[in-house]
Amino acid sequence: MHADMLALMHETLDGTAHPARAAQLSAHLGTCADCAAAWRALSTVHHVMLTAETVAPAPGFTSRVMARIESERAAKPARARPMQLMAAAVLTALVLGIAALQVWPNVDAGDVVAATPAFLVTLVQTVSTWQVLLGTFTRTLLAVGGATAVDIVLAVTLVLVGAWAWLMAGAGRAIPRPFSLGGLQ
Amino acid sequence: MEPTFPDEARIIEQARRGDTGAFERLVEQYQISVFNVARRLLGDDGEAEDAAQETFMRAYRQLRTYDPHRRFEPWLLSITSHYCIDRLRRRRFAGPSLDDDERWDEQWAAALPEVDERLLADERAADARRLLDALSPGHRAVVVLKYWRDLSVEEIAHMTGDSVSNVKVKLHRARQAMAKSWHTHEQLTAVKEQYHAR
Repeated sequence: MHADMLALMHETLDGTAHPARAAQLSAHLGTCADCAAAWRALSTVHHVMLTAETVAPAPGFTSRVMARIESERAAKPARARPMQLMAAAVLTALVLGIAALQVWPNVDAGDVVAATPAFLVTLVQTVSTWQVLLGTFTRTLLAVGGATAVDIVLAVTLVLVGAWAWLMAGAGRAIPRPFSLGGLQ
Repeated sequence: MEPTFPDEARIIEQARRGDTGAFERLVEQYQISVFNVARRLLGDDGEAEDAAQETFMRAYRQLRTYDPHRRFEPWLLSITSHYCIDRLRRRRFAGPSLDDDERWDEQWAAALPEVDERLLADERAADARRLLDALSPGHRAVVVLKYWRDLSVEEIAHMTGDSVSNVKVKLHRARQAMAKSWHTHEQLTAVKEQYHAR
């Protein structure tokens, strides 16, 4: 069999052969039995592939796929929401910061405020009521229970705020469905 | 980009935003393509069903990575073909050890005369399946995508990560291996006919 003719056979079947080259192949096939046999096999295979049957999947295929998707969506945990986590972190820092200003007697709250950026001063001023209440609470606590009691209260506060943040972030819960599933069977 | 069906671009965009109703329409539209490519590659209806389902699951998860400037069907079928090729290669590892695609093709072509005699009476569909079975996973995928879905060599190259010239080489080698199988099969048929004529 002739290698150049074999390449031309593939080009012809691919539809990329120039008409003049295709005519050259046609003429050659009339004179070479080996190439003619190869062409017969190649073109038969080509035809078999082109005319192969098309089959539909078993009935209910769409429903089976959509049921799997729905099942996967229901099982997938929600991701933490960054804005809520950030809000929880800021609140935690604020609570602990205010408490620290009131508890440790060696720190002058006025000095701390003076060294603080303006936006933080504004923030602290907006929660001044909380500051007074927390200050009163922590001073009373310090007088009654001592430094250990203050540490315990701070730790409990931290845990509670953390738990709140975890719940708000929706960790461990399924994703809420933001769109209709009415088309599902 | 030519849409395959009306509103395709809008439906794909809705599906990309998480609309499962829109995704369901894509499943309905493309299930026959996906199922048949899987069926030709794997040669088994049950496995093809699994592969088709897995294709749509993966497409759903990866829909955001789809480039809307390209045709959707080749993107979907590339998921099918990659999944099926993986399965075929796992089968291959479970069977005889072979080094490369060509050796795989040669072994199957050489083994063909020993194939069960029932093949002689098969219809054309079975002929196609038998011819595909003689190919390695990589060659089989190129043939199926080229012949059955009429994808261009360039599209197949994009889907498989091969170069265009490599896809052409694979297509020609695959066709050659199938022609060899066919020729052997014809000879076997002729021998059988002579035997029964006596």
